[in-house]
Amino acid sequence: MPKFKSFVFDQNVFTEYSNTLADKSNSLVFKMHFSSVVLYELAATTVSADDLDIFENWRKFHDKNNTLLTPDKTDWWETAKLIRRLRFGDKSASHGLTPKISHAGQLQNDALIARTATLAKCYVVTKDTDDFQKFVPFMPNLEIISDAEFFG
Amino acid sequence: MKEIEKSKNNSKNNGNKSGEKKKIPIIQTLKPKKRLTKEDKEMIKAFEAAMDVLTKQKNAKV
Repeated sequence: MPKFKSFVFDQNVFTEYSNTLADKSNSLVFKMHFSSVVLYELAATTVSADDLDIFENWRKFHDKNNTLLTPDKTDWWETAKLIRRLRFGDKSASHGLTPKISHAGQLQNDALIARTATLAKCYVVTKDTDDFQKFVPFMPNLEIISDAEFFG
Repeated sequence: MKEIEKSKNNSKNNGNKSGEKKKIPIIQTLKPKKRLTKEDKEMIKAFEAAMDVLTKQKNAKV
């Protein structure tokens, strides 16, 4: 079992498991945090204005309950430093030298989700565990759970 | 004979033979909230509506 009690879903979990999530809504909504970054990814691809209103309504509840994780100026700055470290394969205090990741810039959103989740003591549920694992040398408290482990 | 094979298979599925426990998916360990306020119900409704949108989008792509 994860050490953190609350969790954040990555965007790919919402798109892949929306049916299951709707079925288990009462077990999930009061324990989950919601990332503004994920909301951005979901809303940006929404076509109709009605659908956008539905996301807006959902966002308001998390905002009111203080479960909406939104990166602040420090999060952006620390994420920029993290992505730079990954690009250049910097040394990590816990893992030593890390491999250079040339496409690290593409991991910006995931890094923001990971940072805000860790600060809120939430674990991240994602299908892309490999991408999130890349942050662990520089974010030792990050806890990642695969979709398979969460949904079975 | 069939009974024995069936028993063996069950043992394998439960992981008893190898000593490994089959992991329960985390979603199954989460308990639903029992007493719901009006706002709780509205939040559930908002969440389900958003999930319906995502399901609709997914089905439209297929």
